[in-house]
Parts: sequence; C-alpha cells; structure tokens
Amino acid sequence: MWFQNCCILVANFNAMKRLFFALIALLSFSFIIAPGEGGTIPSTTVKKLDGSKVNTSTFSNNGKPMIISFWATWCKPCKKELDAVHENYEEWQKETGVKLIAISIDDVRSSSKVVTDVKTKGWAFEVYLDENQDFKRAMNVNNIPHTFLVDGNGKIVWSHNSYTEGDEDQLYENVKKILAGESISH
Amino acid sequence: MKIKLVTGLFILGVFMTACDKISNPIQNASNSVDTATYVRKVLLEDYTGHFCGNCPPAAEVASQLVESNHGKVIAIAVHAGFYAKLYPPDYVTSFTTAVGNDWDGTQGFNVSGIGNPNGMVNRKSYGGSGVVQKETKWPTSVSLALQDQYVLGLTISKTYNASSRILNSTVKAKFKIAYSNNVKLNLVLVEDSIISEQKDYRKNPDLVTNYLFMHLLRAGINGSWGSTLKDAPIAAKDSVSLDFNNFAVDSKFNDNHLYLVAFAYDASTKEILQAEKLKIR
Amino acid sequence: MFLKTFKSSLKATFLVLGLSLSFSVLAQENPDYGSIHGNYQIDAQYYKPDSLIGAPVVPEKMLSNAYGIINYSRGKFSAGVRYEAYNNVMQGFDTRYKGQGITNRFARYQDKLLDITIGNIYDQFGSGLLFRTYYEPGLLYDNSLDGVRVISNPYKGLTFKGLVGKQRSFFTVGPGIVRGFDGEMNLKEMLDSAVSSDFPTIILGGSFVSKYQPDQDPNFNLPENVGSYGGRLNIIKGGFNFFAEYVYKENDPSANNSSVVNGKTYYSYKFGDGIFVSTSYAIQGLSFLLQVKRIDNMSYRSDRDATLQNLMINYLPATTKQHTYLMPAFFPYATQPAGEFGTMGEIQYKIKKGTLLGGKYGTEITLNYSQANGLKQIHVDDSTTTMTLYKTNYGEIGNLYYHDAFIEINKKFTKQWKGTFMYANQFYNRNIVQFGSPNAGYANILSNIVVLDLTYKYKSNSSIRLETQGFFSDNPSNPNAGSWLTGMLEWSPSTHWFVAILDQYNYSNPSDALQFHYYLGTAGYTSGPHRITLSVGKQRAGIFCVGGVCRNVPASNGVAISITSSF
Repeated sequence: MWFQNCCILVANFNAMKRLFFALIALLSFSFIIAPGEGGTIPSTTVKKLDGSKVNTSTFSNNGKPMIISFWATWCKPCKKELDAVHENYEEWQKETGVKLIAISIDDVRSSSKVVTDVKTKGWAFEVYLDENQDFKRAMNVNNIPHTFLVDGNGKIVWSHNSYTEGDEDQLYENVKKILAGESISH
Repeated sequence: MKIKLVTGLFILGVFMTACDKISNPIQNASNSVDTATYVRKVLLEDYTGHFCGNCPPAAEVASQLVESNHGKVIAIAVHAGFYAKLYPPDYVTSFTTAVGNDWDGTQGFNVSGIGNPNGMVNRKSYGGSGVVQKETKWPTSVSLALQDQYVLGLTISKTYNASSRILNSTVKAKFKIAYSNNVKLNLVLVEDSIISEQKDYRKNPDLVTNYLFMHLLRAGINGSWGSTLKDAPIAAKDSVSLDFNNFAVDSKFNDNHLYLVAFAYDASTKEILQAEKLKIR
Repeated sequence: MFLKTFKSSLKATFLVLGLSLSFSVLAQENPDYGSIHGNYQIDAQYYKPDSLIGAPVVPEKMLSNAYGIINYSRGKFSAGVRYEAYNNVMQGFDTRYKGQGITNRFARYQDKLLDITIGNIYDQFGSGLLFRTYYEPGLLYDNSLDGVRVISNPYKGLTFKGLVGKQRSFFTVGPGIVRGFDGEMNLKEMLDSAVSSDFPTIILGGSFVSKYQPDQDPNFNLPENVGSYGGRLNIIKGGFNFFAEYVYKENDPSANNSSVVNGKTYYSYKFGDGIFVSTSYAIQGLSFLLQVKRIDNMSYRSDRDATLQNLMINYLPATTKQHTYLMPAFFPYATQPAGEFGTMGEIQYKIKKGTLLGGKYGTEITLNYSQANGLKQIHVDDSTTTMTLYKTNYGEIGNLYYHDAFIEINKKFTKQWKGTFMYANQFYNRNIVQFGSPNAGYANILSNIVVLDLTYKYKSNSSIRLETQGFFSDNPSNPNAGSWLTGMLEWSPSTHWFVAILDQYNYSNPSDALQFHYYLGTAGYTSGPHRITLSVGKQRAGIFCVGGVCRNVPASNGVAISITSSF
C-alpha cells in the first residue's frame, strides 16, 4: 500500500518535513473519503431548552431530510445564517418537510442567552444546548457556523463551514436534491 | 439491585473525596544543626527584569532562601526577556548578558517565554511541576534539592590583579560517587549590591530608583553552556582541575562586590549537581 | 529522550492514520465497521520584524500550530486521538507548547446503565464553578482530565458521574490528582407520569471535587487534599428559567493567593466560595436576562504553583457581554478568581414586522449592561496563626473593574440591504484585568465605541459588507489605548470566495510618527467543510479571548495561512 511505503520514507526526514508529510497524508486522507459522507449521527447527550437530556443519535425527521446547524449566541455569521433560514423556514417545511436542528455550543457564560435569543428572534427550530461541546467534538466541528445535511436514512451527506450571504439558497437546493435522490457536490 | 450498587458506590466515592482542613499553617522550625561533611549546595536562578513589577517579591524570596540556608543556597538573578529590555526614559541600565539570554531563550530553558518572575532550582523538576517554577515553589524545591545525593565537590581558587582587572581562576572537582553521564562545568561572574531602577507594583508610584539588586549575573567566563568537566564513565574519587585564565573584568563592575559562581551539571539531563562560589577580592 | 517520544508519537500517528484509512474504506461499504470522522486545522505565519509597531524579531521566521483529530465510532463504542504540532508555537501562545505529539486519546463505551470513558476526558459539573475541562484550540487551552470517568443513569432523570485523573499540562500531565463526583436529578423526568405536563422542570444537583498534591514545603503545613462541594437548582417553566449554583472550597493555599512580605511567603488559608445566579424570561419577540455572580478566592488548580491558564480545575464564567466586533472586544474582561462581584442585565426586543419602526422585516433591539467590581478585602491579623489573612462580607463590594453599557440595533431594510448599529460605553480597569495589580501604573480606560455594519446583497449569493468602527478614548498616557478607527470592506462574490481589507488606525497617538494604519488583506476559499484563508499585513497587539480565557498577542507583520477541514 502506498501509504505504508510513504511512512518508511518519511521516517528518515527531518522534523519539519515529517510534519509536512503528515499533513499531506491528512489532507489526502480527507479527500479519499468524501466529507462526512456515509457517517451517521454519533451518540452524545445534549440538553433541550426545557432542561431534559436528549441523545443525539435519536435525532430524526420521519424519513425527511434534516439540517443540523452549530451556532453560538456570540457568533454573528451563525445568527445571520439562522435568520436567513428562519425567513424561509415555513416555505421550506411546506415544500420539503425539512427540519432544522440548531445546536448551540455556548458555554455557561452565555448559554442562558440561548433561550432569550431564540425566543426574541422567534426561531421555530429545534434548539439544543451542547454546553460541554461533546456533540461538537463528535461531529468534528472546528469553527462555527458549521452546517450538516442529514438524509432521510439518518446519513450525513453534506457539510459546510462558514456562512456568506446566499448560502441558505444552496443549502435548500441540496435539501431538494436529497429528496430527489440526486448526489450533492460542493 | 444494580441501582443500589451503583448508588452505593457513588456515595462511598463521595466520602473518599477527602479534604484536609489545616488549623496550624506554619511549621515549627527545626533547630537541628547540620553537621554533614559533604554538602550538596543548591543553585537557585531567579529570572527577572527591571520592568517586571511583580518580580521584586520573588527576589526577596530568593534572598530569604540564601540567608536562611546558611551558605547552602547560591542564588543568581538573571535579567532576560521582555521585562529586561530598556524602557526609556526610566529604565535605561541594561543588566542582560549573553549567557543569561541563552539560558532564558527558547533553546535554553524558555523562562521569560513562560513569564516573569519564574525560576529554577538546580534546573530540575521537583514534584512534577516542571523545571521552571513560581517563587512559591522555590522553598519546597530547595528543601528537596538539599536532600539530593551528593555527587561531587567543587573548590574554586583565583588570583586577581585589581589594577589590571585580570582574573585567573581554577576549579577543582572531586567525585564522591561513580556517575554515568557526562558532566559539564559552568563558571560565571555575579555581582551583589547594585543600585538601580526597578518597577515594583507594591509601591506607588511603581518606579523605585534606588532598588538594591543582589546576586546579579554579570558575565560568563566559559560561555553559556560551560566546558567539559569529565566525560562518562566517571568513577568514585575521580578528580579534575580546570583553569580559566586571563579573564578581563569589565571596568563597569564593582570588583569589591563580585564573586565567581561555579556549577557542575549533568550534560544530558541539565540537572545541576553541585555549586560553589568565591569572592574575587 | 525527547526525540524518542517524538518518533514514537509520530509512528503512532501514522499507525492511526493507516488504520483509520483502512477502516474508512471499509466503513463506506459496510456500516457494521463503524464510522471514522476527523478534522484538522493548520495555522502558519511568516513574521517580518517591524520595530515601529512593535512586532518582534522571530528567529524561526515562520511559526505554525497544527492539530488533527480522528474519531472512530461504532454502536456503543467510540474512540479518538488528537495529534498536535507546534514548530514552533505561534506568537502570543505559551511557549511551553513546543514540539509535537499525541496529546489526547480516549475510548468510551456507552451502555444504558454505565457509560465508561478512559483517556482524556472533557466534562463539567453544573455551571463549571467546581469542575470543567474543555479544549479551545484558538487559545491553546486544554485542561482535559487524563483518567477514568463513569456515568450512570440508574433511574430515569437521575444521573451520577464519577471521575479521577490528572490534568493535561502541555505535553505532559500536572502533578495533582483530581477526583470528582456529581449527582443530578430531574424531578419532572423522575416523577414522569405522576405529574401533569405543565409541571415545571426542576433539576437539583450536587458535586464534590477534591485534588491531591503532596506537601513538601519546609515552612508550611499545606493541605495535600483540597476538597470542594456545591449544590445547584434549575427551574424551568415555559419561557421562565432560573438557575442558581453555590460552591464552597476548603483552604487552598496556592501561588494565586500568596503574597511576599520581606522575603517571606504568606498564603491565605481562607476558604473560597462562589455563587452564580441566572434568571431569564422570554416570550415571542421579548426577553429579559439577569445574571449575578460573586466569586471569592476561587482559583482552583491541580498544581498549587501553577499560574496563567495552566491546570485550572474549575471555570468561572465572566458575566459580561461577549462581543463579536473588533473594537468593543478591544479590552475584553475576564473573571478575577481572587474576588469579584459581577452583574449583567439584558433586554432583547423585536419590533414586529409591518409596524412603523419594524418595517418589512422587523427590527431587533438589544440593551445590555454589565458591571464587575472587586470584593472589599478586610485585613485579618492572623499571619502567625491561622493565616487566613483577609475576609470578605457579602454585600460589600470593592473597586470597579469593568462596566459595559451596550445597545445594538439589527435591521433588515430590504431584500438587498441589512445593517447593524452598535454603541457601547466601557470602563476597563487595566491594572487589575491586564496586570493583576492595583498599582501597575496604567490609567483606567473609559471608552465610547460605535459600530456600523452594512451588508448589500447584490446577487443571490454575492454580497458586499462594510464595517466601520470607532473606539474613542481619552487616554493620551497610553498610546495603544487611545482612539482608533477601523474600516473593513468584505466582498463575497460567491459562496466559495471572500476577499476582505481591514484597516485599523490609531489616529490619536500623540506622536505623529507612531500613528499607523494597520492594513490587513484577507482572502478565503471555502468548499463544504474545507476552508483556506490567507492574510497579508499588519496586526496590532491585542488581547484575544474565547469564553473568558484571554491571551496577549504581540503585534505582527507578515503573511498568515490557515486551513481547516473536517471529514
């Protein structure tokens, strides 16, 4: 296997080069398996706004696609993205039955602001607290906003990091593609 | 049943979560007189800078340790890093040295990189807290270092010509036990009782213009990392003598307050095995 | 020795990579082999010395921080490793992050009755006032507990947690052992069908944490075991949420409560305690939030001689507004563990769509005020006996450390235009917050801050954003704390690309020669979960905080690249 050969070669190089190769290996590795593809939602515990605990592996939407969006009360682009979805949410739900699950990674300092933000903004999403960031780690989110698309079978089929204006349109296109059984590209 | 077992275990655990309530914080000083022939002296390095307002308390801790241990602790104040730079108009006297910069640098012990004040006791970690330690840790580390095994003894002798300011010194080492690593010897010049500016946050205003600097590192005589004292294998009773001749003492230094500090260290672990000092006049 | 560790950790990394690669190929074909996920981030910067802005000479010229995480999960089992590499660590971080190695690995088995984790553990009890371990790569903060954790749900709504281990300290672990137990019960879940659905959620919790570190001090009898305990209550009903936690810590003499008088060290053997109360009420379009916190002698670390961000067992949240724009976050506040009384109140209101002020899309208004004071320490003359050294009284507060009065208006005008306006009035006690000493000799900073952020969306996925910010402070004694103007223009032509130019200008510096434009150009490319950004230019010295932990970053001039990805 090329990988192992590469390993032996690398062992003789100096530290900087080793690191470089390790990174290249990581990079190529990540492109071998398509991002997030094939995975299911890992099992961790998050909190509902009413204080009860929910296992993330039980997230489902009756065979319809789901959007899982990581955000925080102090993250401006995250809130922009969720606001943008909020504006179209009724229409999206009517057309496709899609559901958005918003995971707040706020820690204790700001987690009490989650409920006030959500209520004030009138978001109709399912909102959960991931105070200890267990779910964030399990989903390998480095930076927020980070949005995942889950198909009707509970498979993660697409993910996207950061938000720019108009990203919500692409997100919705992808939701429709999932429903139509088409594959999604970035 | 299972539930009871789990609950019971957790309750047991809670009781095991002990805590010690101390009503007599201060230990009684032991008055035992030390009569040991072989004394392993301890080198305490205090990394500091004149712009470091939190550093004077650490300097006091160092002086206190030197005083209370009756010649068994040798201290060196090393000015290096951000706080030792010049900050005109108030802090304009440089106390940095090439040797100090090397010890402090990232290729050395990276002390100011961690923050000032910080220091090292025999350049060794005591109790798993790392080689570089806060001043609150120094008394503990010093008392542990004094109990470390005696490896070798050092004797310094010198001739100093006060008019030409030429210093010749000899360091003799005698090993008491066999030692399996290479040992190196570093010789530096240290000056006491310098009066200059120091920032001290305990004072208001914090600029102290007549601050008394003690045991300040002034110069290296055989570089930052010293010379080979003896390579392994070293047998018990091995002895070595090293000469360092024709060292010109900078005219800025007050030779009445200058002394040599020699220390032997393990070349691979960097731990200091013995230290000694001698006034140059 | 070091090289050996390095080699073996490198080998381990490749082994893991290789293994996970073969697994992942299988994983896609057959879900029974479980799934592999991971992410990595690489940051590197080329530094050019610039004596004018105070950017220091970097001998390595280029510095980099990198990490990669791989997690494997299959059914009830999961495991993961994290590899970190600092060659050498970037400016502004603790230089003890040096070299590379595996810094985190864990295996976990979750069952209905028991959930067992071995390895590096992240967890928190209650709000974290007694125990919280977490990882924040942006700050290189990682106080994970390397040990064992058992979680059990013996009954519906009842959770027990027990853990023991040592905390991560750079590439090793600290000297102290940390042990903790936590129990929590959700009354509503426990009573289940016995109560009606509009019965309020009531959650009760209690925790015990203790640390052990040997005492070898020649002068003091230091407690080898330092215990702490706390209780908490959370009541939730509809839009109402009340949370309160009280914690108490036994005598814990440490570097954080020591002082030196005439060369003699004095520790405070006083107990520590803390209380945190948060109440909120929210209905559609309107919400209130009130937080109160009092902290006294609550620095709690698994090494009594540790300082800075190292080996903290607990987490003390700052009850101040967490800002996202540059200028209001210029002088961020962090909780003072020695003693602090903090309060924050916030009102959020959304003016309805279709009203005069609400316009077509509604208008959001946020009002926030937060304040932090020290505690008034009353001297106790017991330095030769019990050595508590001071006491505090409830209801007596000390000097002002920080305040922030803040208003933000968020409005979407049309489909194309939206904007945010923000104004803040801040007070920052620089001596205390930045230098930890009332006599550090810096003037307090009182500032007025204005931000206007406008976005113009000219195509469905193309937009231009303009941020103008002003930091106005009358503080000529400290050039870098004077007034600043900031402008940023950001262009996102598609969902993949963005280009931005940032200029920060310290126009009020009394010396003309020291007035600079800190230009920074940034370009980024995002594709799904992959993101690459490149920036060129000058960055001013500043304090960067995430979640209450801050670090000082020196000014720099150069080229920086950042790559993040997850899979």
